[in-house]
Amino acid sequence: MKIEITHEPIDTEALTQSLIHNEYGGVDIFIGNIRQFTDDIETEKIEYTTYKKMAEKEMHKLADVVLAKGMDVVMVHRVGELQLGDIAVFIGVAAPHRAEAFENCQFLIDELKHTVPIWKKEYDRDKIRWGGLED
Amino acid sequence: MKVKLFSILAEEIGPTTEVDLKSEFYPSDVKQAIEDAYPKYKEVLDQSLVAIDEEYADDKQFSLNDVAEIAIIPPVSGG
Repeated sequence: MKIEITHEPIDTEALTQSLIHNEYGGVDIFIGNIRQFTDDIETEKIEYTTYKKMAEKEMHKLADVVLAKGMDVVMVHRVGELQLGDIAVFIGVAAPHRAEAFENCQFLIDELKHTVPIWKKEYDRDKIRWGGLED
Repeated sequence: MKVKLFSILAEEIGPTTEVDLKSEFYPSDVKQAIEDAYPKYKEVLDQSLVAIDEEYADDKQFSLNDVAEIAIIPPVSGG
């Protein structure tokens, strides 16, 4: 199990490898990266900030739900200034079978977006947008 | 009491703001006090939650003596 908020680039290969165990037959991974276009809006970069202590607590709460079902979990979110194509988040679940891996990986990323105190400031070509707030 | 701010509130007001709270208070009192000082952020505050000691707080009464840290949590947008 690994939960981390980091300023450093996310090493997806090492994190993936850490989820390979003999007792699990399937690993599902979600990688979120900085997207250039959202409809007509062009993004140039995104700055992520966090309330780190609370964010890691909230990530642990989510991971605990999945760990309690006997799976392994990796949740890493990068903060700071990210450019197009940079990886912002890595969620991985290792489970005995693929269905549980898919389902729980989706649960973790969906809930992370709702509860974990991380914020994005999106530098778009037309203006700056704060994630989560109405324009 | 010093209150931690994040996201747009931190950038425009500062990383913390000082709020006068009664010895017994509700999380909504914290938001109201900040709104009184910075009415421009009413809409953001309306959408924000309050965290007490790094936990989302229900709007129940808290004793200031038992509280170490208060933060305003604007809508989160990680991922």
